[in-house]
Amino acid sequence: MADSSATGAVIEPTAWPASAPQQKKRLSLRFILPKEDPWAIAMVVLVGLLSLFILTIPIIVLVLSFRDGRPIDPTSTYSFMHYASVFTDPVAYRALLNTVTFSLVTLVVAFVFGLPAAWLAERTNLPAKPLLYTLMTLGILLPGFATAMGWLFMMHPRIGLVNVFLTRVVGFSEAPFNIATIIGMGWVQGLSLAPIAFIMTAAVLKAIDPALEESAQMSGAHFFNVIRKVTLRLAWPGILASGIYIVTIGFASFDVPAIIGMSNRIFTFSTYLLTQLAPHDDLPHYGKAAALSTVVMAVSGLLALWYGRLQSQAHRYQVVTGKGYRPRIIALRKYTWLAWTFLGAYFVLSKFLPLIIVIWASSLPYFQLPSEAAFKAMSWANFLNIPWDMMLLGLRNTSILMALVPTLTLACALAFSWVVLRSKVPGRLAFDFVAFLPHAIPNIVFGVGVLLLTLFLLRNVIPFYGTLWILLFVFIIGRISYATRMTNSTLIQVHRELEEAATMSGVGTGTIVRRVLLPILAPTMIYAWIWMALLTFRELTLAVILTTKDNLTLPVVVWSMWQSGDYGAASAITLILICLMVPLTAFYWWAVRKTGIETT
Amino acid sequence: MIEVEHLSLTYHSAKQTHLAVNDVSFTVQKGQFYTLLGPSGCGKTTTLRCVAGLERPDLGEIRVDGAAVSSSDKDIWIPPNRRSIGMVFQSYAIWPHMSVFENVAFPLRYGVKKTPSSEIKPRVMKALEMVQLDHLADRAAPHLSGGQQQRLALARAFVMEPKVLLLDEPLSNLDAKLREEMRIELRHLVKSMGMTTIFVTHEQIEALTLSDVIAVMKDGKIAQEGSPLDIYQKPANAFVADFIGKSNLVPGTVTTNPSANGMVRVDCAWGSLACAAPSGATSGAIMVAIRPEHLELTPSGTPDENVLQGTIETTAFVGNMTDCIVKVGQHSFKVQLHPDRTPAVGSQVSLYIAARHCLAMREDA
Repeated sequence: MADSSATGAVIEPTAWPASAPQQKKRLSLRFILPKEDPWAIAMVVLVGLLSLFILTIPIIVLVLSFRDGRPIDPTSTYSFMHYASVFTDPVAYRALLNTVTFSLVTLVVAFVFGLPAAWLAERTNLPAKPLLYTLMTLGILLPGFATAMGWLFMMHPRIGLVNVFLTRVVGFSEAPFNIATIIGMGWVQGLSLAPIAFIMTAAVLKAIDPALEESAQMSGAHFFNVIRKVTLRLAWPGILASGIYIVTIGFASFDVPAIIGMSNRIFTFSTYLLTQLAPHDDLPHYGKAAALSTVVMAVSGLLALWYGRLQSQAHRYQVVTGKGYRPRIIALRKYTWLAWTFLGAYFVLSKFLPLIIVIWASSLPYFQLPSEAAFKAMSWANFLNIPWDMMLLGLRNTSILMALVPTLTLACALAFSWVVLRSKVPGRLAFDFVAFLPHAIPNIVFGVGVLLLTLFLLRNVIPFYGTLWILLFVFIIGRISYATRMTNSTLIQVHRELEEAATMSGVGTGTIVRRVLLPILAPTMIYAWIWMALLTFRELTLAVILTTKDNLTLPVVVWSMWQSGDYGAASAITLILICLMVPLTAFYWWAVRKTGIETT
Repeated sequence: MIEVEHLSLTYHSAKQTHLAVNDVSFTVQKGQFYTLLGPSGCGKTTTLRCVAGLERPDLGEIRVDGAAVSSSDKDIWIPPNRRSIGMVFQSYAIWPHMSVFENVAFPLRYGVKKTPSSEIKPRVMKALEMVQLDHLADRAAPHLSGGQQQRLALARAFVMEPKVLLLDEPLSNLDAKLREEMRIELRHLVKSMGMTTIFVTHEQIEALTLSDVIAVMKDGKIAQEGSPLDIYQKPANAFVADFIGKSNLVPGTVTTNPSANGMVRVDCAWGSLACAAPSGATSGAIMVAIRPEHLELTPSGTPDENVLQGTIETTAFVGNMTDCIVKVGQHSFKVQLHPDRTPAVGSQVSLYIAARHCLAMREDA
C-alpha cells in the first residue's frame, strides 16, 4: 500500500486491507462464456458432447467385455468369461501372438527403407529430392488393400506369378515363396508404412544442429562413427517415437492381414476380431470381441504412454531445438546411382509392381502367367461385369463421406483447439487429452465400441446402426486426433493479440473465428482437408466393421468381391478407385506446393 | 473519464499464485494522457487488460464515463467487445489477410455498433488520413513497415471513435530513431482527438515526454502518481527515485525537525547532509537520493556543507558527459561530469550537492 503520508503522491487513502486479498479467483460464467457470445457457447457444448462420446466408447467396450451372456440381457452378470475364452481359444491366442510378430516385422521393414531414405533426403546432396518427397507422401495414398492384392498375386504359393514361373519354367520342385505368412504380411505392411518412418525421421534429422556432427568430425571421428555415435544418438528419441507409432498402426492394421491372411486362415488381431463380429456359421461373439479389444486397448495404451514419455523427455535433448538449421550436406558423388537404385527398388516393390499386377489381374477372367493365351484372354469383362448397383451405392456413400468427414472433423478440431488454447473454460487441457485418445487407441476399437453402442444401447432410441451416419460419426472420431494436432499447431502460431484486437473492435467469437482465424488458418485447413478426404476415400477397416448392405463404401465393395473370390472384379474396382483418387491427389500435391506445408 | 477502484487480480497456476494487481486505484480525467510505468511484471499490462475487459479482475470496480463496466461488488461484467474501447497492442495485431483499408473497416463492418455501409468508406479514409496512410489504403497489410503498421493499428483504434484509448507498449517494437519520431506523433494525434488515454510502458523517457500524469507501478501497486516533473523531481520513495532516472541511494537517519523551508539534517555513514524532504520523510530511518548529475566538482574546502570527499574509481566517456564512479567511504557514487573537467582515475575529489537536490525519502512505497 502506498504510504498515505507521502505528499508527492496523490493516492487516496483507503480502508482496504494492506495484505493480499486471500479470496479465490471468482471466475463467473459470464466471463468464461458471455451469454452475448453464442458461438463460444456452441463450441464449448460441441467439444463437451464429442468428448463425452469419445470417452464413452472405450468404456462401453470395457464394461461389455466383462458382461457374460447377451450384453443387454438384464440377467447377465459380470465375469472374466470372455477373457478366459480369448486366452484359452488357441486361434485367438495365436492371433494375438501373430499380431506382435506382424507388428515387429512391419517395423523392421519400414525402418530398413524409411530411415536411409530420410537420411539421404536430409543429409546428402541426393539429386531430385522434391521427387523423393512427392513419391513418399503420395505413396501413403495407394490403398493398403491394393498393394496387398498385388503381392498376393505375385507370391501366393499356388497362383502367385513368381512362384508359378519358378516352378513351371525354371523347374523348382515346390513354390519357393509364400506371402501368406506373418513374415510375408509384415513385409507388405512394412513397405506401405516406410513413408511414415521417412517423414517422421526426416523431420527429426532436419532439427539436429549440424555443428554437433561437425565437432565430432573435427575431433577426428570417422564418417560412419559420426553417424553412429552422434547423428543416430541425437535422433534416437524421434526414431523411437516413429517406431512406436508404426507398431501401433501395425497392431491394428486390417487391409493387409485381411487380403492376404484371412483366406489362408492366418489371423491377426483385427481380422480375428472381424470373424468374431461376423462369423459365417455362428452368432456374433460380441463379448469376446469386446474382451479382445480391451486387451489391445491396454497394449496400445501402454505404447501411447511410452510415446508420451518420450515426447516429454525430448526437451532433455536440448540440441534438437526445432530451429531451422542449414543441415550439413554430405556429397554422394559416385554413390548417387546406388542411392537412387535403393530408392527406386523401394518404389518398384511397394507401388509399381503391385499396381501393374493388379492391372494385369483386372484384365483376365482368372489369374494366370503372361502367355500368348493369357494375352488373348485379356478383356474389359471384369469392368463390365462389376455389380454396378453396389458400385454406385458405394460411390455415392463414399462421396458423401469424403465431403462431410473432413469438413466436420476440421470444424470439430477447430472448436477443440479454440476451447483448449483460447477459451477460459476451467480444466480445458483435459479436452486435448480426450482428442488424443483416438490416436492412442486403435480406430478399430472405436469401431467395435460404436457398433456395440448402436446395436445394444441406442437401438431403440436412435436407429443409427446400418446408416451412413454411423460411419460418418466413427470416421470423425477416427480422424479427430490428427485434425486437432494440425489445428493446435497452427493456432499456437497465431498471435493471440490478433484475436484480442478483433474483440476490442467490438466483435464476438463467431466473427473472430470466421473473419480472422479461418482466413489465417486456411492454408493448413485446406491441406488437412484434402489429406483427410483421401484417407476417408480409402478407409476400409472402420467401414468393414460397421457396414451393412445399405451403408457400404467403395473399399467395402472391393472387400466383398474379394471375399466372394471374384479377384478380377475386385481388381477392376480397385483400379477405378485409384483412378478416382488421381484428381484429388493432384489437388493435394498442388496444395502442398502452394502452402509449403510438409517437410519439403 | 476512467475510474479504477481497488482493483485486484491474482493469477493461479498449478504451482503458485501470483498477485499481479494489488488494490490499485486511479482516475484518468477526460482527455488526459495517463501512463502506467514500471518494470516488467509490475502489473501495468494486467491493469490495462482489466480496463479493456481482456482479464477479469477478482475485486474492484472500473467505470468508464461514470458507468461501471466491471464491478465485483455489484456483480457487473461488460464483455470487452461491448465496452467501446480502442486498443493498440504491443505486436500491433494487424490482420495479415486483409488490406490496410479492410483492417480499419473491420470494427465498422462487424463491430457491435454497426455502421451504415455508405459511411464506412469516408470514415475509414478519414482515419487513414489522420495517420497519413490514406495513400496505402489498398496495400496488403503485411507489406507495411513497422512504423506504418503502428499507425495502422492507431487508425483502427480511432475509427470507432471510442470513449477511451488503451496503448500497450505501442512503441517497443520500433527501432530507436523511429520510436523517437512516433513518440511526438502519438501524443499529437491523441491530443488532437481529445481522447482519454491509458498508456503502458517500461521506458521512462516515453512516460516523461508523453504523459499528463504518470503512475509508477511496482509489484502490483502504484508506487507514486504525479506529473512527469513531480515524478522526476520529487520521487516519493527510493524505488521511484532509482527507476526514473538514476539515483545514488544512501541510508541515513533524520536528526532534526524540519526547518521553516522544509529542510532536515540527515546523518549518513560519513557525515551529515542537509536534505529536502518533499515526500514528508522527516523523521527516523530514511534513504537519501542524489541524482548523478547533481554532484558537482568543487575546489577543496568550499563551501563547507554537503561536500563529499572521495576518490575517482572508474570513468567512462559516453559523449556529452563522463560517467564516473566515485568512492566515498564505503559507498560508490555514480557521478556525471563534463568530459573536459573529469579528473584522472585515482584522483581525490570534492563533490558538492545542493541541499534541494538531496532528497530524503522512505525506502518503500
